[in-house]
Amino acid sequence: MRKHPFDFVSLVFGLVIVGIAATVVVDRTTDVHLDLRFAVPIAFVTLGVLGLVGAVVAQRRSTRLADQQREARLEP
Amino acid sequence: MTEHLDDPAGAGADSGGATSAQFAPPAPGGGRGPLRRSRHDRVLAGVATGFARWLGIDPVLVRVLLVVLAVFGGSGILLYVIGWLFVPLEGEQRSEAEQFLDRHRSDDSSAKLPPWLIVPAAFVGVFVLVSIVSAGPWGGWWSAGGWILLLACGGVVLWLANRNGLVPGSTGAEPVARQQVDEAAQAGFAHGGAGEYPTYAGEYPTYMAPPMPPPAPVKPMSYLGAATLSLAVIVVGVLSALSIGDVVEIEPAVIMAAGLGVLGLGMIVGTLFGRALWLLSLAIPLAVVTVLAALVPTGISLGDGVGSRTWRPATVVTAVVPHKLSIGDARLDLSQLQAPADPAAVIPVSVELGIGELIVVLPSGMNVQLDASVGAGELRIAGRPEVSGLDNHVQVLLPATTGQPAPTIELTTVTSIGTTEVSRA
Repeated sequence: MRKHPFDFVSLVFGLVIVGIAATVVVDRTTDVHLDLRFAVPIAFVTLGVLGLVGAVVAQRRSTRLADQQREARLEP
Repeated sequence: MTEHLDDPAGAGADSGGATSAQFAPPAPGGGRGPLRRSRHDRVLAGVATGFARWLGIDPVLVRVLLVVLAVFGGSGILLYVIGWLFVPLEGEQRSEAEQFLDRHRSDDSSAKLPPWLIVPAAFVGVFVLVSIVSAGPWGGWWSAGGWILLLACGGVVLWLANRNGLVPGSTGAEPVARQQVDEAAQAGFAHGGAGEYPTYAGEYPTYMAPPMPPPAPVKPMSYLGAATLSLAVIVVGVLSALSIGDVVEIEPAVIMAAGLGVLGLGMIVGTLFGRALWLLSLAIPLAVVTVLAALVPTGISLGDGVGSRTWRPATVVTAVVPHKLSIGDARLDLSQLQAPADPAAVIPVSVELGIGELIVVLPSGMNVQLDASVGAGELRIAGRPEVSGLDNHVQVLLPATTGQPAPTIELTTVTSIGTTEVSRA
């Protein structure tokens, strides 16, 4: 299979699904038990982290784009 | 030719263009074409692909979302039908609904729906449909999740739609592809337009770029999804065999979680190689079922029967026998129960239901010490506020309505997934 451009969506959903599966396995096979009251705070933290990463990535991309445009304008 | 061109501001003289204008936000600079159902890359009517292209996201995501919304509350089906009816096909000006109206409209032009009424009418229509759906058999906590999800999705769509031209594709290649297509379209228009349509520029002076829908990007077939699914099935099969053969004791929830984990790992691989995002349409329902199965305190066994049960014990001897049902609707009617003469008597009654609806009818002439638990679902006790959600447990004394000293029923109800309703006869 050929390598394709980084698919962020696939990564996020893959991690979420693996996370759910791991939580269930840990809950049912060890003494650590999942308490659903933490589901909402965890969702908030996850969303916040994703938002932060997205903001940083978008900021870097837009800065790079602006730099490229400025350089292109200065060249001729 | 002009039939195939839309003006992006939706300023068509005919009100027939109102629907497309209402859906498609103005795209300054011609960054995005109008919302159209896809003609080529489609499963049913091209609604998902058209919508995804309009938003600049992966069609798979929209499909997955529609499937999930269809499962939880059915709103996905409704949304799809609305899209089918009101979003015109690629290259068309009018939606199916508008074409239908045009064909069946009387010559009297006053019979036509004025454009300013379309938005309020759509709101009223959706509201009525929502009411019907939530009142029907799909109502309750199960569908509430779907509608909340739908509202959340609506918010995300509005947000995405407002980011004109800044919508990042799910893969880095897509925005570039769209830009190239736009450039190509502009170039083509400049050449063809000058030669073949000399009067065109005069007729439409504000027209900048023809909003041609970008063609579906050509991607090589990926078998990552199929391979992942096969692997997940193998893992579930092997673990089930080990469990059945008493080699290792593995709970059903853990087996499902293992399969789910394989699907998730496949998607993570799809971050760089191949495409497996469509697995989400399987993974989301499976995740819900797995989490529910993990929450259920006692495993649901099929040994207690499936179907409909009605118990109407008349004597204490038959009432104290535990009542059990695995899946189905159970009704325990204690209204015919003959009360013992001794007011100090205590009658233990228990009923267990795995998945389904449990209705308990209490006799008016006896006190009831109720101990009701519902793993996931709703609990309705007459005269008390309804509780819903996960892991609900209510202990309450319901005194006899006759107001006289009376024997007591110690009633224990356990419902793993579903509804429990307790009322007086």
